[in-house]
Amino acid sequence: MRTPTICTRREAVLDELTQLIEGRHPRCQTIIARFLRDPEFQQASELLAKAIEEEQRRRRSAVINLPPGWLLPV
Amino acid sequence: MGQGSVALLPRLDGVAVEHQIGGEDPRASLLARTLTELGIANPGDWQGGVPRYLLDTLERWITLHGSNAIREQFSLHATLRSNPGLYGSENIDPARLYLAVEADAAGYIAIGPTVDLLKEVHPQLPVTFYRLLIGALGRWARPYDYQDALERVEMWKEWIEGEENPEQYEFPDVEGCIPAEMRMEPLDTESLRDLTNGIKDGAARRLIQAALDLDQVSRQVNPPEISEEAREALMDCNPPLPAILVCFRHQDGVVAAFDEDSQAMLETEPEPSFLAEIVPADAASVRKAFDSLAGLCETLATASRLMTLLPGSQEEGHQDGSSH
Repeated sequence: MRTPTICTRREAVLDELTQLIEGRHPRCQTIIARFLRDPEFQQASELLAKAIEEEQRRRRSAVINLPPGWLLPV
Repeated sequence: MGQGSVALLPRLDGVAVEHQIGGEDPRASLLARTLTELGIANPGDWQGGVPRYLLDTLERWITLHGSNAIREQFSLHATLRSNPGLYGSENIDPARLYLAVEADAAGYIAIGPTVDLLKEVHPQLPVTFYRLLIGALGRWARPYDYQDALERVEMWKEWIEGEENPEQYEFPDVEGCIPAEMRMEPLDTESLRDLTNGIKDGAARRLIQAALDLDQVSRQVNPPEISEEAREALMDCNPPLPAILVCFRHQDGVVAAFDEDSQAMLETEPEPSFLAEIVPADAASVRKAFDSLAGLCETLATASRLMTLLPGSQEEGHQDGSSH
């Protein structure tokens, strides 16, 4: 017959593993863990990174004066 | 903004500049839970980390099924991974894990003195014993024996066909090292059991009994079947590395062929010796994979104990102190 301590230990381990599987464990709440588990988080991060990159590229560009007689694009 | 450790690079105070991902694969957590539910994993090993827990469980399981005996003759390692191959980077099936066993080096036995002993009892005993030994090992791992050596020499001879000076090539004499008794028909199991009871030579009787036991142990569980996806992932691999080299005499033609053949064994990734696919949340799948691993371990442990009975094997096999 199993002792209560062993049962408790087994149940505690199973509970902790279930929390890990379901993302409820404190270790799953770190920003990296959330990022790894959440495809929307990953997609949003990718969009943000691209937007920042685009903004940096835009800032680096210089405005060139149009040659005389050129029309602005419609 | 605070002062960075490098003068030219500013940094934000309190913000980590580097993140390392040490995430736990959800499949690993699922497997850990299933193993605990099945009673294969011991909750006493839990220290809060899934990888360590799985590793301890694997070690415990292998120890339970004869790791000490296995280590006497074999050098293998087991891994739990996300791909069938060792170097695969893409998950071919995100719902599965793979339990693999690979050889680190080939064990070595010289079986000539055993042939000499057994032929004195009955001329068909050497080949019967040999087939039982190689058959049982071959069900679970790859032995390299005279059949492999013959095939390899045949292949090398085909490669040089049509060359101008074929005599410049020298091939290991495998045919010449095969004892005549090995070309006889083996006895069937019933005849062998009848014969074994009447063998007066204690050493010969123990060897035959050990070979019959090994045959039985190797058949207790079936090796795992591999899915088409896993087979495809291993399509470009070399054959598994041999777990044991079985020759007749020290430095005979089989050893020479193996030495030459082994130069190319790692040119491309070898297949694992043993591969079991696991659906981590499915208790039946996990149980089957671990039972198969137990079958492999018990077969190798029984083979290892048999090998200690082989007459002269230690002297023949290790007279130069090296292993293959």
